[in-house]
Amino acid sequence: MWRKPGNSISRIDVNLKTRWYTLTITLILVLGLALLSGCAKKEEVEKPKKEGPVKGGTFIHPLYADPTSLDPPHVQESEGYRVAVMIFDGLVDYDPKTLEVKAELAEKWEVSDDATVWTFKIKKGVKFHNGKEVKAEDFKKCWERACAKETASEVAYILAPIKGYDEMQEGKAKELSGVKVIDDYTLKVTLKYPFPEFLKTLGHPVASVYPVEEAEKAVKEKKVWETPVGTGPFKFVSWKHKQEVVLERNPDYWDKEPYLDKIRFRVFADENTAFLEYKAGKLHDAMIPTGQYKTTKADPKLGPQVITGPELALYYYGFNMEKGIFADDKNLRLAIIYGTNKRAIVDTVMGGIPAPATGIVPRGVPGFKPDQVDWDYDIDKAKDFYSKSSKPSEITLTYNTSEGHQKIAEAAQAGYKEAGLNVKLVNIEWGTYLDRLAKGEYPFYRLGWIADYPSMDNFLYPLFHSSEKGNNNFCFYENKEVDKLLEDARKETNAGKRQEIYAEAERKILEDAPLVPIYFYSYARVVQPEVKNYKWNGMGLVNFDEIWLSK
Amino acid sequence: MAQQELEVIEGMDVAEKKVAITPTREIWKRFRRHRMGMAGLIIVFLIVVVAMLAPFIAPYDPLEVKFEDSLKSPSLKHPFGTDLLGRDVLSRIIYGSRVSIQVGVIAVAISLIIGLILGLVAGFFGSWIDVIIMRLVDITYAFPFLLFAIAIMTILGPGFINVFIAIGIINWAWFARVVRGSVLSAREQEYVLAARALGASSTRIMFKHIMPNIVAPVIVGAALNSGYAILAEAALSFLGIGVQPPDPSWGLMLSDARSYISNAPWMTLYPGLAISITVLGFILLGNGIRDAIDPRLKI
Amino acid sequence: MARFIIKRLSQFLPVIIGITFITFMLLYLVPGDPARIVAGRNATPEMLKAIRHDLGLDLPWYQQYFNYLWKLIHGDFGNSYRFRRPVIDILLDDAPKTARLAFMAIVIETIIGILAGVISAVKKYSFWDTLITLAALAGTSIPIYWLGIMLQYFFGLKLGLLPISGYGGFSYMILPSIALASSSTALVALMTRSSFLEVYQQDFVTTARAKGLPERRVIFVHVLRNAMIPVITVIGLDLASLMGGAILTETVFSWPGIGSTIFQAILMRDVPVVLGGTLFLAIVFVVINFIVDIFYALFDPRIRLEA
Repeated sequence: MWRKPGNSISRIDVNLKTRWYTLTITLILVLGLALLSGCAKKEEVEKPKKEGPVKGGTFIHPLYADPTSLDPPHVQESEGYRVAVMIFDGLVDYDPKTLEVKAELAEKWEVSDDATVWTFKIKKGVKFHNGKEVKAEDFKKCWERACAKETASEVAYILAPIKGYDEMQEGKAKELSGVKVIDDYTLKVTLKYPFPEFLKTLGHPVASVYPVEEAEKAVKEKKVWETPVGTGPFKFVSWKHKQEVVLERNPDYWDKEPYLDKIRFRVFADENTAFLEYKAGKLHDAMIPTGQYKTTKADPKLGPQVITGPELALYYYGFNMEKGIFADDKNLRLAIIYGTNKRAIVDTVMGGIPAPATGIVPRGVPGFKPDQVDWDYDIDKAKDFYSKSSKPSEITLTYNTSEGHQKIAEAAQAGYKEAGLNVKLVNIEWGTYLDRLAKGEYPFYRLGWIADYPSMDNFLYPLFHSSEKGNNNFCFYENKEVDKLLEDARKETNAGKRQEIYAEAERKILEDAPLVPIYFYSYARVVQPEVKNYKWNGMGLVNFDEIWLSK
Repeated sequence: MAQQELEVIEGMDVAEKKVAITPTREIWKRFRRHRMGMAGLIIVFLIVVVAMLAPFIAPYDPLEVKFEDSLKSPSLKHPFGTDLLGRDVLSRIIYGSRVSIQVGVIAVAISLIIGLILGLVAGFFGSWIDVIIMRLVDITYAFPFLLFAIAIMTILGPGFINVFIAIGIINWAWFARVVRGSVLSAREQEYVLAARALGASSTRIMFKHIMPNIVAPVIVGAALNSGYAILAEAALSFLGIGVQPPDPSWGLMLSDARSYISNAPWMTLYPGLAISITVLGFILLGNGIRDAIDPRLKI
Repeated sequence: MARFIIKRLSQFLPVIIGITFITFMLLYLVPGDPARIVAGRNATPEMLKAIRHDLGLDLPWYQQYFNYLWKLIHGDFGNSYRFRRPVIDILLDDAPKTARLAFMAIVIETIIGILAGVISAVKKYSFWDTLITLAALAGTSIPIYWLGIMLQYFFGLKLGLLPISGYGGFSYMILPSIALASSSTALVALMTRSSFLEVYQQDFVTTARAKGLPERRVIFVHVLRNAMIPVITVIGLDLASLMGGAILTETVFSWPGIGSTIFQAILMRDVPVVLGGTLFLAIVFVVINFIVDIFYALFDPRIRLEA
């Protein structure tokens, strides 16, 4: 860093004879250092030498932040999520390819016609990593811990449909009244309202099962539970904060035993360094930094190692529909919408990785409807709408501080300029940003939404239902018709019909133009050739339990 | 605390060594002979000229986005290449000098003013005022500089002016200490004692007799501190909490360039060189002025 | 000496209290609600209220501050808002890592800096002197993170000699500590040079030489020993400033140290971590300062020469 001025050149003249050895010593030291560096231990990824599925090896995977927590009620970001799903199992899981729900610890389930009462049969003989058998009671206790006021879980809202959730959150109840243990292997769950997609929410780590007493003991003694115990394909070994999390194969796994001996999740402070490490052969997979996608793809060695696919997330610029210059000025909103050069953002800034958004619900979500809107960059339309609007001389776009958001904003700004719109950029760091956003202080702002679970509901209800205003609905959008549709959809038990209602709601929302959908996320990763059967899904999860390493 | 005693070590008790202010011409003559100092002066002069004439010498508009020119390597058309959004790196560096020069001047002026006032007050009035100000200096020194600046930036929010303020606020302590040291020793000089005995007012003594003694270390310190202030701005912008884009700042350009180090190294190379050369210029200039004013002055 | 130590110790307390107070006020003034960051995007107003109450954020600021001090007196640094872990655990995790880096940087700056400075002084106005002086001046002007990225690119990626980033054994420390040490090494070199030259013209050196001692002995025993005192002082103080100044290096090299922890904590409004971390660094600074002063008082050359 910078420091205070120090003493520097002196001016006293002294005559001295040459002493070559002083120089020699320096040289030796410098050389010594260089040699030491040359001898540096190289830590290459292990490469077993057989063909076909083969057991063994350690998979080294980068995380781009230290997991905030591995305690299920506190697993809130994708990094922790990815680790947690390997340690914990829930009643259901998502299929790695289709993202449809599949059974995990649930043997089978039944649902009442109105989708409010769910009965789960739990697999017998499944054991926790500590040897204890999983019973229905464990699920009840885990969910109750997640919903309890004292736990202050960041993700308990996922269990909000369950009856008794509100009482638990308010600290008025000790038990979830909606969860009943019928016998050791039967669990009956009653919801507050009909919710056919309830099953999907249960794939989230917050709904997974673990020996609750271990968690409670740890929290009591050390404030946090950092030695997670679950039923998953991998067992927890160690967690060195901001360095790595290590998991090892669970030999007693109830399902197919994984091939990998171990997974090392190495924590990186930034994606560029991790990518360099991958190129040096020290990681089995890595995210390609946006700027390097095209060159990586074209690289003869790295090109074939690239994998891409859709991710269930939307990047958008939102308007405040309640106050500020955009609130009652649809023409101005449309001017911005047509002035947003999505194509340039996607192709240049994002290196061609994501797809320009065609609606709110991204592709990959079951029920996705393509081409909900046709809002391509159109300077003439933008100018036209602007001339019909209140014509503010300056519009401010606010975004949270990050190199990526900044580049997108700069590119968007260039597009607006071409369309005659004078847009000023302001970046605010996240802590302040979130708070002011919730207070509705920004008329025009950036946000992204990543699916909690693969469902259209998860994109439409939290972002646009009027009850979520200032909570997730930062557009402060309110439309009675849309509210009604979203509520109706939640009650509809027929999946096809339900998706139609959601699509209808999506169209209605877009007609009001409360946001500029910019792009649907995609992942772009590189995977070493010796890694077999690697799948990265749209939820940002990896099937470590099915991967093997060959030579 | 520690710093007071250390003045002896770092030789900050300037006036004790009886700085005689040589006439300006004499100083200039000595400075001209100082090769490194001259080099520093030329560098700083050139950068100031570049900053002032930026609109005339920059080949392109530094903010002009041209998607089709994204990440072009250096060529005759774009001597330093282009960045992700197709903006000309050379033009951005030329405009970026404005941010750096302004930080070097304004941020240092802020710390100088705060430091000068508090240093004078502490040194001249002594007693409890001195104790309080010096404790404040100690506290400021005990804060890790960069973290302090980050905290201030999060309060003020990113932006051009706020960077000046943040850097100005964290750097004042150095000036306060040097000024106080000079005042303390000047106070004991015979002519000051004489002026006092003749009933001159405190303010008069301060400005007539003590100020000249402070000028030398302050000028040198300002030149050196400018270099460090420029580094500080670049660091804050690199961390994303400094100057607001799209204002071209060298630190911001470096942070933009990180993702492209392997396919567009020019984006990293040139802004880094620009920072280093500018900072070097200020440091050489500072050293040169010091040697010219008083070779024994150790700052 | 005893009086000196007592006087200095009595100055600790105001500095410590001042540091906590200023940090606390800074964080209090920072816009943004820590509760919202803890709770995440999906927090309901009721949840926010509950969390605020839980963290004591609904109290007036002076009460919050005194509560913090009260706990601190009892050795409790509080718990991280974000990670829920006790702050002391986080600091004990991170501080040794930064210390390793800082220590390695000190070793580099001591060896290279002093050697370069001595060579420069002994061979004044030679080609080597100019080279070293220029290199040192460049060293103080280069942004640490830029140097870090360049080192990563050449030694890590192009040559593949060293690990690019991450926390690990000796080989992992080389690049970050070089980056961290760069400007200090330059300062030490320049300082050694001027200090060396100054001592060199003093009477006792002339006397030593007049006694017929070989030049090598004069340089290494008499001159260097006395010239080193200010240099060592600066190196000592550097250890303290490196601890706090490692944020950029830590960020570039993914080194999980205390600087990056505090940086992240500021951005995430994790008040207890920022308070604890800053306080910790300030204590390190004050203690090292104190030790250096004692060292200086004990080994002042003038005292020794008089004896």
